[in-house]
Amino acid sequence: MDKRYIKNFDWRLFATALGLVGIGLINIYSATWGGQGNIFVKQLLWVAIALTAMVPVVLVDYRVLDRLSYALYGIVVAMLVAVLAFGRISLGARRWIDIAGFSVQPSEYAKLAVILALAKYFQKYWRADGYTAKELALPMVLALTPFALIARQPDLGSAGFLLLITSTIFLILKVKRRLLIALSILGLSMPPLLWMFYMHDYQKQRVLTLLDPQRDPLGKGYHIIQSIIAVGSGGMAGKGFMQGSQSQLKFLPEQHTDFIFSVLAEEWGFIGSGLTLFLIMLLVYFAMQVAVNAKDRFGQLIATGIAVMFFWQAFINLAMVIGLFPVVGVPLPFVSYGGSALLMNMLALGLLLNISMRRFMF
Amino acid sequence: MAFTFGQPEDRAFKLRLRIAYFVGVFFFLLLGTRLWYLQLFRGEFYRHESEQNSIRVKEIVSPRGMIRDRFGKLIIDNKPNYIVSIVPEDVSDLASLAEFIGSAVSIPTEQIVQKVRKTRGPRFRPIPIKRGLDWVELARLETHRHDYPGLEIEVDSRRSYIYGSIAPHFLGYLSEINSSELEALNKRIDAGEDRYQQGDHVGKGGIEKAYQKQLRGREGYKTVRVDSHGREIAELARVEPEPGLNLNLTLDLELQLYARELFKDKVGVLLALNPQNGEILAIVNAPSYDPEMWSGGISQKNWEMLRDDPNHPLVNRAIRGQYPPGSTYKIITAAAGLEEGVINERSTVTCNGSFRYGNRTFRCWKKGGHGKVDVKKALVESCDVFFYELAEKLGINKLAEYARHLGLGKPTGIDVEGEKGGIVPTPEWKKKRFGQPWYPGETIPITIGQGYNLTTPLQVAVMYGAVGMNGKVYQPHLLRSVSDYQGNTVFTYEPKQAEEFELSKKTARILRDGLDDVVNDRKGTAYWYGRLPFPDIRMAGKTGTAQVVNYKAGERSGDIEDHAWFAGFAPVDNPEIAAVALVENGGSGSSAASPLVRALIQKYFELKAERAGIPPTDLTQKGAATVNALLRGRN
Repeated sequence: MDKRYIKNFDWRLFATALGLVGIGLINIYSATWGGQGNIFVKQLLWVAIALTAMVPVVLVDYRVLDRLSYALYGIVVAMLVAVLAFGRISLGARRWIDIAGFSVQPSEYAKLAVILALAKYFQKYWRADGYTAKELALPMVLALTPFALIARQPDLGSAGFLLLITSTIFLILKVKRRLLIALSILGLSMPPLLWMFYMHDYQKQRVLTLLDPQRDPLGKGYHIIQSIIAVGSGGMAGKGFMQGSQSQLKFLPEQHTDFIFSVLAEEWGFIGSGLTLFLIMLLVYFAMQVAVNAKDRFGQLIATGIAVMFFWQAFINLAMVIGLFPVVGVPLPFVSYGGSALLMNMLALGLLLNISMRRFMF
Repeated sequence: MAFTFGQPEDRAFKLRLRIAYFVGVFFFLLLGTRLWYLQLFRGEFYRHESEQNSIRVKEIVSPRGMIRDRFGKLIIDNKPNYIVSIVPEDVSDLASLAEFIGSAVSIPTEQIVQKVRKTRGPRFRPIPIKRGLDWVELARLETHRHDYPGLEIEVDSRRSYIYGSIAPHFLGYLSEINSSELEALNKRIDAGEDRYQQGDHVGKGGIEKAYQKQLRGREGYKTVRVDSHGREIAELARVEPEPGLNLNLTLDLELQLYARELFKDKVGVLLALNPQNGEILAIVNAPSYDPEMWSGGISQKNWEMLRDDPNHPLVNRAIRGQYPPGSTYKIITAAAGLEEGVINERSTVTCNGSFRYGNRTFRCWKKGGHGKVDVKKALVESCDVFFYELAEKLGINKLAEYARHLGLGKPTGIDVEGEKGGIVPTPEWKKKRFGQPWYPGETIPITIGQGYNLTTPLQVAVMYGAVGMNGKVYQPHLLRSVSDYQGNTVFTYEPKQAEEFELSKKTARILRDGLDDVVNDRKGTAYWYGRLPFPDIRMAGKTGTAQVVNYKAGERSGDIEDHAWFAGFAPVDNPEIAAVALVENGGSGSSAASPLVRALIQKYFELKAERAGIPPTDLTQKGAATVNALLRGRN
């Protein structure tokens, strides 16, 4: 193998992501200790699986994806259809399918698939002077197809997340002013329209509860209130590893998955939560650097998409945990418990490393 | 590839990337500010809140749906159930607390300590120690409640069986969920339904199990603030539980109570249904048991008593007891013969008391024979030889076909689980079961309901109802409708025809005439005990005797009496009730079974008249207009 690959390997990016994984493991251990048994061990196993799966993604030149992007996208869309047809129902929604004994959540992989498909499209139709509505029609379809399938599950959180990534990418790529104005108007009118015609009662409840947690102090409001108490009570230095009374007394909901950050904030205080926030900003920064330095358009676009995805996942999760955003079920990347999400983020990381490693290759 | 790197528009793209990043940093600064606010600025406050986290969420058990009869009379209600629990979080001295509770409710101290130590879950969730406290226990605990932090007395509800044991095999009972049920039920959970937890009580068997989902309702919650001893000091919020849905059954409680009384001290089944829609009106298995025994866990003593009773009170004979149908089967042979054109109304056979086939002799129950017999007389006097004669002409497969059309050989589809399908023998069946071919001689006993034939009492009732309905079989069921706690009907059971089959009008009439005379003709086997005392309402039916064969020895055992059958319906021409009695070891169908069915059907019409405000004397009068109106109007 070319020595330059090793020389150019982005250790900073890799180390930042591993740091987040480590923080996740510590807090998953604390959150599930003495309770549901082997969740910590399962996550360790998933870390091993994800790191192994990352190796070929790093090594094989990412430009093969130029040919595979649409095929991968097609596979993910087929999986989403399969979920609707015979997925497993849990908590009132169909989100998982079982493949070879593993529970897979295709909506996680849809994020990456959409990013790849968009990268493929935009490298072919590059417009430095901004895109018109007509030129964005196909990418819109690329995003809306999985959006509609995921929204049907129903998982409005993950579905909306896809639109968020896509529109952010559009903005960074630059769109014509007229379209920008039109999209802004559409964007602003979406929430009331969704509210009136689309949202399930439980989703409306979540939004209302965010605005006023006391209106449902036992249901979703209870989660938010308890999460805020946990975060706040951490103070400057935190209560110490496995000493969080909120976490240990199981006042917190989903404390090893979506609410892992509240365990962290309670037990490690502002020092721990600030450090984690900083690591995530670094992760996004390094990801963006990969995009800036990439040596071809395709790599640049993939890296941009992944940076955007990391950013929004982290932001939405953190905002949710500290009571600034409704509870939508987006995990904290690399930190939260959950195999599908961890694997997907690791694969994305692998792509970034791949792109950055080959930045001097041409 | 056209690279545009280094060109101005590319620098513009990179600039936009950086701008986007700084917007992102700004977003993160917002998060950081919020963290600073929560953790540093308000940190002391939240630290205090968490230390005082005295907010507890307590479940409020939802009242389970009630079960009523077809006229809305309450059969199964709820009553308060007092539970003593320990909240580990609040306990200061487990040993002395366990000792106190142990002495108050007579449970070994060590057992309580073990239960508390072994139970997992949040420390503020109460661990139930004993349910169903009686008043003395409750008083003992209440007096010293405040001396023992961690002691909690909760109230939920348990079943109250207003009329004692009413068809417990069909209504079921409640008992604590076991771990395999926990897993199975949680797998089938619907959106918005509570998850099942250890300690929940769920329906076991019968209607309580079949409609568990509808009956359970949704739990409520209350958030309370507790002091350092775990005592509630304020209720902060409350979500009321959603009561379970109420079930209205097809049972007629008064008829059911009458049937239970009628069948007291007997072993077997007495049941009645409406052949026009399959609604079960009354159903008695005897002997039976008291569903109350299960609430709070059945004791070892009671369990052994039920298990070891030689009359098997736990067996649901009506749908799980499989008996030879005996002569009640003869209508199938007759129907097949008439429909297939093998015989007609006037065909006769001479019965001289026996029938030879090859070198075997099959006997008629009447030694001297019946003489010249047509199909009607064969039914009325239950002549065996007439039906033996049909065996060869029809063949086993035709018989099986008609048996299935009239509901035998497969579960009837009643809405409780565990039903058996009986056996309609065919050559394939025998090949599969014994690996042997069918011998033509074996068809002969089949024609009179002996041999390999097996039926459940419910199947026989359904079959006789179907004969009254020109062959139409309706799926029997116990649920009539479901209503919410405000009384709105949310579901109504639609009658389902189980088989796309009808007899020709002519055949149906011949069969009905025959069954009419079984009861109402002087020579009929049920004449002496089966006639209704109403001149305008006649019952039709058929007696039967199921030979009790000691299967191990392969021959009849001498000292055990046969099972007695009677199946019938009324009124003959437009039946609205079909009933069956099976009396185990009762002897003959005419003396042991037909009076029970007659009494039940008589009671049915008396109740109907009474509810319509018609004086009982009208029923016994010939040509009373009120009775005619009663029969014409649908019930």
